[in-house]
Amino acid sequence: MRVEKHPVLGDREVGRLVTISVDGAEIEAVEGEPIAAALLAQGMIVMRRTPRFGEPRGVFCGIGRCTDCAMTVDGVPNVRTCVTPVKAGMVITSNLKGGGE
Amino acid sequence: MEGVKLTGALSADEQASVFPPNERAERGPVAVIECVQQIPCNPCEKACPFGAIEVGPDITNLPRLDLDKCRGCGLCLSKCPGLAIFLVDASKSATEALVMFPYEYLPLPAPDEIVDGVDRTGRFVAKARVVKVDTGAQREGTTIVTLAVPKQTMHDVRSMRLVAPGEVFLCRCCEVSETEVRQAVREGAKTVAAVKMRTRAGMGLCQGRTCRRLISRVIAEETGQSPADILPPTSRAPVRTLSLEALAGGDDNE
Repeated sequence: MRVEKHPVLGDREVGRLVTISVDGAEIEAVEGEPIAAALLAQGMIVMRRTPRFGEPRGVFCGIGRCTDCAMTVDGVPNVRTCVTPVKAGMVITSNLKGGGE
Repeated sequence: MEGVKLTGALSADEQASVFPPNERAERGPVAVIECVQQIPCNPCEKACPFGAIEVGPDITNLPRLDLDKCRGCGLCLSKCPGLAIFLVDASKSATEALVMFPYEYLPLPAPDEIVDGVDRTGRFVAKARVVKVDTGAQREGTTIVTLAVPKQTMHDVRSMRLVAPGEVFLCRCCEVSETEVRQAVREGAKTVAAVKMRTRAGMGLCQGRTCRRLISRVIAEETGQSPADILPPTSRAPVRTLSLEALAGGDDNE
């Protein structure tokens, strides 16, 4: 999801398009935007599954508090994708099976 | 401990400062703007087609409602980002009043369904009948629900509860339900730390940020104490998740 016109921040700056890998798929993202924004723009709303019941989770608070959007980024687990900027070539994986967190 | 700053819900004094006189609600629908903090925000002012809401040039002013200009159309309800505007209407019957409120959860009820009307903190107030569920496009995703409630509760009912406590997660990270937390408290866990040891609530990635206050509230309800008297859980550094590499000084970005 990208906010094109923000009532306070103004129009969205046109950023550099880069490619990131998400669970093996190459997707286009804007450098510097939150990883979660890039995923939502592609319609990817499930970012992990819960450890106990295996239920889908995605962006909930969107401000780095709830950790529902945590994924593994470049090998680092539990990265909050809503507050982590996109860098070119990032490799992102989700825990879609649940358990083992 | 009371007031919206400390509890998230209006105190009795704060409520009194925003309620329209009962005579006005008896005449017909009227907005109740439960906005008592001077935050820089004014979409309500433009939302009203009748010019009944005024914030003025200083955007931190509290909104003022002109009770005669307000026709109770409810257009302002879904425009308030804080979901702080409601509508009450005591003109329809001698015993019941209508309460309209914004509702951004699923599932939605059907008209004529009987639901639990709850107050500003989510506590049960009275059984209420669903009159209307408006998901109209102009609402931009915010549904407006109209409930018929006993008239004496029209200033208390501000939302509804449709989901059973067993289906509500107090701790989202570890998926611990309200029922499980209540059960733990009844079995002797009288502190947030004890509930954590028994249920794992608060042990997740977010480090209890979301659930600790909810758990305090449940303990307070179950033990008849004030939430202010429930000791907070032990906070341990680091308060944000941090890689060991960053702590060891190996990461230039942190």
